[in-house]
Amino acid sequence: MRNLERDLIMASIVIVVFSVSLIIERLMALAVVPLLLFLFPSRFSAGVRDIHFSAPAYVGDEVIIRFAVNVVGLGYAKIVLKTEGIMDVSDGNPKAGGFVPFFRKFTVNVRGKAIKRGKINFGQTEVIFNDIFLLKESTKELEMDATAEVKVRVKKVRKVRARRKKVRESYPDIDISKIGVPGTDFREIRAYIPGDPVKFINWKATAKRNDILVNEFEVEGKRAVWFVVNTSSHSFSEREYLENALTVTASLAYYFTKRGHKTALTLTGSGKTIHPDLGKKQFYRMMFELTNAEFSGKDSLIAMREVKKLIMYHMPFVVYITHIHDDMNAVVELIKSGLKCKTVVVAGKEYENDLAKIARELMTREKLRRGADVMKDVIRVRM
Amino acid sequence: MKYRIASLVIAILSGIIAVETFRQTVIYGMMSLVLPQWIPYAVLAAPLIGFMAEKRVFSLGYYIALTVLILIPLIQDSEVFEGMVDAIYSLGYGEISRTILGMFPYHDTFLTLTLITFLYIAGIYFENMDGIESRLKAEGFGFTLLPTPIFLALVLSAIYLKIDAILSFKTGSDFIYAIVTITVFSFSVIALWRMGR
Repeated sequence: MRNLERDLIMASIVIVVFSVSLIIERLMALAVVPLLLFLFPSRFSAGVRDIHFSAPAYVGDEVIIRFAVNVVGLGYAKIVLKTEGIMDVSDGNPKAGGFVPFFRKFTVNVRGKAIKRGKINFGQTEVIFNDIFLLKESTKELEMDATAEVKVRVKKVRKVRARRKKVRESYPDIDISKIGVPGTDFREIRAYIPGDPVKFINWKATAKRNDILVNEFEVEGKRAVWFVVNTSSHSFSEREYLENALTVTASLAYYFTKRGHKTALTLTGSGKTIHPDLGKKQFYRMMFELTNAEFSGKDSLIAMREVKKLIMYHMPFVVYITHIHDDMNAVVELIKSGLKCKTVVVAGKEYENDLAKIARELMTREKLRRGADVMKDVIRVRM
Repeated sequence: MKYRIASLVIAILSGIIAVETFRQTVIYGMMSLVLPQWIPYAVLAAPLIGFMAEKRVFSLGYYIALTVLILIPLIQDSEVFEGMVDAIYSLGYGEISRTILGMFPYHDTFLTLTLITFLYIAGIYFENMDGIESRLKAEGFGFTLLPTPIFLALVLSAIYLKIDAILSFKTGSDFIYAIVTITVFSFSVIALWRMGR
């Protein structure tokens, strides 16, 4: 609409120039006419009525949102329900608009699938109003209560095959805070920490060092499982991959947590890490991080180098969840450090182009050759 | 496209009105002695060429050309013209000044100029509305902008019918005109500058 404004102002300037250069006063009245159109008001008021919102619980669930907007004014109203990045519209139009002859009621009825996790406001609506002469534009955000917490879907995992073997390392876990019963195998003498049982105090060593020291024993418990999810931004950062990766992580985390394993999580993109721990609370902590996970700029190798020391301290079984385009340098870094690591390649976007399909097939073969498990869909979890 | 055709119709209509006004002048009579009589109608080719070449139909240049044609009979209203004739007369060329004055007999064509200006404003709208509507369609809105030309026609008709009443408003001093001129000119320049940014 800027062209329109420019043309009208130019018309006014031309008449002014004629009027001033020839000194014909009457022409000034004509110069005012194009500018008069700018004085027409673009004020309007809009209100939301009759809201119907069917909230989703998980990513992929159906969302239904229906509402009416009453607009008062003279001009053109454009009503836009912002769905981009939060839902895939399958039915209906998130946009409505038209001429408003002083009053008009618009209805927006949209049905789709939730595609974003977290606390999402599905009712973000904007009203853009143009005056009748299309010269001025006013915008108003409408307040609507259509907020829902969309969680990562946790699928039921029946069996994880590769875990059915004895751990090779004699140090399954050295965490001292919340692990199982200490065994009889002596590990080391360390400084007393409030909460340590009195029976573990090594009196001889305490007397020698003049400081309270306790014996520490190897703990009896299951091995920790550390999930590393590749959320580093790359040229093929696909939403489909991220959702699948997070669902796989959540499902496996639930599986291992329920079986008494300590679980930990690292998101390579943001570099966020949740330290190993047991129980439901740990699962909820992980779910919170997974729900808010997005692609970020940190490279997966750099993120891995940063967290490697911490992972090595716990010596867990690492599950590296990544995409087909990954160069696997992060896995090489983990394996070099002597960590047991399993790579799970999660399905991403389905390509329609034949060349892309061939490239994908080649990459899949390369990943299989390097010992990764390539998942074709989210339901069949194999490790 | 539909608005562009409307713009073409308006442009041709404006051209015919302007040329018909110009044909009543002495200048046209003198021109027709040396040039073919249809020459002023060549102006009408501009919108047609613009239409076929996918360029502006009712362009600013075309509007200026039409304004010049209409202002010729009104030139005696100009203080500048009056000053020039007086200057020639005072220099002792009374015959020349009388001849010049005779070449431009006064004929009030202000209403015609008003009509052409209003048609040009309508043309500006028609010229831009195709683009605005296609942009709306691309954004996902399917509504029409037809109420705009209707409202525009209403407003411009109301002003056109009342233009005499508006012009009869006299301030008694040219100072007011000067203030209005400076204000309108400044507003236009500021608006253009801001749009350029």
